Amino acid sequence: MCVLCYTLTGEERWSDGALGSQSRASDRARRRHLLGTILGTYGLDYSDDPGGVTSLVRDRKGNVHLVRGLEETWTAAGRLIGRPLDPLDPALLHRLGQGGA
Amino acid sequence: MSAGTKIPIVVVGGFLGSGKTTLLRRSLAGHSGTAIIVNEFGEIAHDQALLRACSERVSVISGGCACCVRREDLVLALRSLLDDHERGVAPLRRVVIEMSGLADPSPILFTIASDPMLRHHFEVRRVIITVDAVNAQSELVAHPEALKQVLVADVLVITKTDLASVQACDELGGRLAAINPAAGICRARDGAVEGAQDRDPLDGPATPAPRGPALPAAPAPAHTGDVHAVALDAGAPLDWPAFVVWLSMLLHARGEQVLRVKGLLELDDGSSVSINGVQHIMHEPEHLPATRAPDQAPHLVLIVRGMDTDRLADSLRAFQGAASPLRQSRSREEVRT
Repeated sequence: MCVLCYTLTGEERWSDGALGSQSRASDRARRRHLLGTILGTYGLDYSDDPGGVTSLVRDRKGNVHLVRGLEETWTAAGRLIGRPLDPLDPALLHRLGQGGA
Repeated sequence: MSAGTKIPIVVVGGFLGSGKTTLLRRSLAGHSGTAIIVNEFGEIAHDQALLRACSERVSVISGGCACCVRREDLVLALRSLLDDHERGVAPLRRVVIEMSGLADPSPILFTIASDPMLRHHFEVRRVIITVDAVNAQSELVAHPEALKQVLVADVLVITKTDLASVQACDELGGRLAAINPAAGICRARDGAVEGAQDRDPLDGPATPAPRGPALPAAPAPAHTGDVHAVALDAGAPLDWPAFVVWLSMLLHARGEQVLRVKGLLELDDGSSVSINGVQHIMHEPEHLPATRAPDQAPHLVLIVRGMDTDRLADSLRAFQGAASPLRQSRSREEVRT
């Protein structure tokens, strides 16, 4: 398999690597809130357990995906809406610019 | 094993005939404890003989330049070296992987990053790419492999400077800086790196001194075809959770278009973090001392292909902006407590 076909290697290792222990809970809450806004733009709901280990991504038809980490979140969200979520999507940038988070 | 005790790996590449082996021979002379893994193209392992004279162990991965089809050989070679090291048979100070002239370095990085055992014991310290002062200008146009090597380099060594005019070397240096502003650039003559007389040029800091002050504050793309290098200004300090969400989403949606990510980020808790990624492969962030060198200004450089860089900058700003109210809310809570 081509290297480009692999998903981001060990996302949790790099994404959590800079967090200090004291700020982990706060940063996790901010991340959860931002993810809620992003997925909400596409009609999806995002929630996670208190430990932030697993999360739920669901659409309004009742379809639910249990995910771990950001990579699985994007994959699940893309499946639910039928296309990849793009951080350069003008609609998303407009929503974020409105203070949606 | 902590990051500080991992065995460093230096990846040395460069287009065909650009002076990789000459650089290695000069760099390794008189140094012990270095193992070399050579990925030869066309099953002609002639460089092995040249390198054996200056290193006690040379392993050859022959049979093609596409490292992605030989990755398992690389894993086995590194595990064998590690086994000898841990049994005390052959103490290992570092490993040098010499790529074939046509190879893309990213599968090598991926192979190491994705193998739990190798990741635990080794760290890729830097990617050094040799660039021929005489032929590189045309090679960069004619051969996408040469361009890709420059894009993923941490250090670019302009070789054969004695065969080219000073003006040609200067022009090549300017072009390389435009293609990959995140890389350090130095020159070599007959394999000897200028200004490195007293030290091994393969050693040095984990990352070359960032040339932050020289980078434009606003996105100012330097491009080769549809490849653009862009210095992003997200505002400082950076909200790390929002940045992670943004970068992760970007790599998931457009990973094939993001050739390189490199930066020194100043976070909102006062710390600094160095990040480094090649395509989908993000290395673990490196914490930096609170007191940075004057030339280590915060910066973030992305090299992208076929992407609207203005919108890329807008996107990062939007994600950071969306996080600002939450950040302020947290600050107020911390004041109350």
